[in-house]
Amino acid sequence: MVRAIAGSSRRRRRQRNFDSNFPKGMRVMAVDDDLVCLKFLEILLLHCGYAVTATQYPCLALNLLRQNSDAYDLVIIDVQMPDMDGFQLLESIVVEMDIPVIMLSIHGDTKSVTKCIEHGACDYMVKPARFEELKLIWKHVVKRSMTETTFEHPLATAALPLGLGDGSSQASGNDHPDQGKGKGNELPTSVSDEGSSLVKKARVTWSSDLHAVFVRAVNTVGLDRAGPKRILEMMGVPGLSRQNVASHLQKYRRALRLYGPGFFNIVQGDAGAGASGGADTSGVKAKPQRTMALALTRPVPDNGRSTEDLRVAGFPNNQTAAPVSQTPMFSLPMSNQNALVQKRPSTSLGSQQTIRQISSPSYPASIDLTGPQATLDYQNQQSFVSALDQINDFIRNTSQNLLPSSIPPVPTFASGPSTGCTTGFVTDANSSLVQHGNQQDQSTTPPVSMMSSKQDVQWGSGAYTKTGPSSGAQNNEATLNMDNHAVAPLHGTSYAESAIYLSEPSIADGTFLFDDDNEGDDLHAMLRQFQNK
Amino acid sequence: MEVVQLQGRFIDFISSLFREGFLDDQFTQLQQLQDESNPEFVMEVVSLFFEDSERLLNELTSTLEQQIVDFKKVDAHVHQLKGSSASIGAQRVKNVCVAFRSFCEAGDREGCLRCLQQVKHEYSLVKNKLETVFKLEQQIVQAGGSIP
Repeated sequence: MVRAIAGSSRRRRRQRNFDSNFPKGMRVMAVDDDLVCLKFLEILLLHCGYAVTATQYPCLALNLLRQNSDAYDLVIIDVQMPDMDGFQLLESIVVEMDIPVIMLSIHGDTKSVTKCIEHGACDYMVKPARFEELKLIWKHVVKRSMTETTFEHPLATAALPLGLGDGSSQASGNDHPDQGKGKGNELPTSVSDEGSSLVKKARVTWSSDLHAVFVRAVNTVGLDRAGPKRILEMMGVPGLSRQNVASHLQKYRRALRLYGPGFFNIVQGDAGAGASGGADTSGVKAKPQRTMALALTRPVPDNGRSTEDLRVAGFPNNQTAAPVSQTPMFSLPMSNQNALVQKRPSTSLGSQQTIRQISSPSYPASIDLTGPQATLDYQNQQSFVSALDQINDFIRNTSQNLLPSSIPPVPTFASGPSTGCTTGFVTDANSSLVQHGNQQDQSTTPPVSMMSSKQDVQWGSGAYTKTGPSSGAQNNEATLNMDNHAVAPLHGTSYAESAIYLSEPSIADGTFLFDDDNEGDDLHAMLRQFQNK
Repeated sequence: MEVVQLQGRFIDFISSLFREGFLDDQFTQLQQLQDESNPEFVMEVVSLFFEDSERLLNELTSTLEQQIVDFKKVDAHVHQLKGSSASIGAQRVKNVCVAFRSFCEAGDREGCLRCLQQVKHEYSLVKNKLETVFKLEQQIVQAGGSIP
């Protein structure tokens, strides 16, 4: 049974990948902080017939990819970027999402190229990119899909209970029913996704036992000196690959860094072990586990968006959070246009491309907030969306699955990127959410409209043209300005506008929100197990 | 003036820019990418380049004026300028950037200042030339012709 499902889904996916139009319509994400280069690259890619998402902000790109790694076939990254090192982004993508990445740089020297390949890039190009080269980048996508279809996790074909189609670790003697069902559910929904990307590698499920073995190995080797290969050897678990360990190690390290060594204790229910090193603000520490715990103990109803639930499942009344008005929420790199431009190749002569152009606000030396109230409104929006997304993600990953799966991944970001990826604003929003119930009541209606209007905004053809954006787009551009936004009233429309702001959240944020990790989220799955016990 | 004459002037002017090294093949690529679906593409990208470069040049000036020069910052700016000038084919600007970067690496402030002057000079030259190109294009279109 399991084998049949796995096999047929693989076959189905393979067929879907290479339809008659391929490589036309291949979905490429381009990341470059230099706007001129980015625009040039984008137009070249469009001329090749690809569907392009271009952004100047690496953190934003990473979050987009994390939210829906199936939505992109290939990523092109500039090596030298101020906000996030190109290599860092490269590694994250390679380990977490397994999408082919091409590096782009001014330098063409051997050392730079070697470094990129060693970090996992599948190709390297020198700026400015050449049309002839870009015309052939689809070969990496084909190559990747070939290696994946031939790869079969040795445990994938073992007879497993509960329909764990994608394989599970041998050491996991206690497959939890929830998890099993969740995995089983994952398989059909991901297959039925339109435009799903290539066959994924078989996932290893990091059960609590396996994780314990992992931690023992890490502690023996020493966390600082721990390398995936060494840990793999120490663990001595057959069927586990270096890649699995590397990915898990990265998540483990990140979790430690963000939440401190007490993290795993907290998850197991110890109260007060909230001390964590490396968290940005005190508020940040407290948030995740409480959110998780509350969300788990409370079955979220179908509409799942009632203020009630969110307030409970949301955020502790965190007195230690930094005062709202003092937190620099945004520090924006430049005052140019096009924070995010998403285009589709034109299908007919003369047809205007669908463009979502968002002008980034100018770099504020200090945030000029017209009033704490207004700011809180704004932050309510953000955190509201964050909470919503958390719940969405959580629900999607459990057997309950009450919410319709057609919910698009909602960008949880506020307008305006932040250099250095701080998490300050989320914390502040937490405290403000609880304290300002009125605002929240107003915000119950928007989510639905936000979703739909976001949909319209994003995908409606002809809604935006290059030369003359519709009034909708203009509103967006206008309200993206920090000052305007601070005074934007909390109406449904402003939600719609704010929904399409794809600014740059922090990396920590992404992890923070326990993103919808389609990869079967080993570390987080393990955490859920603790909760379920 | 007749369309044919205008077009002739245009071609001559562009050719001279290539000959004198102001522009290189990359600019030709840009021109080829401009089509019905992107009619103003070249102008857009070049305008972006102007904006970006002016910002970078200002930053460079202020960074190099400091008592203690942050060469890493200077290098980052020059890197970006090199990238964008390479993307639109402003060859001479790009070449100065190459020299500029080696002075940065050496921590040579005087050298950097000289390069900055040179870059500013080259930039204003190429800006002038490109603006002339666009003006000629406009004249052709207004006279009812198409851009060769």
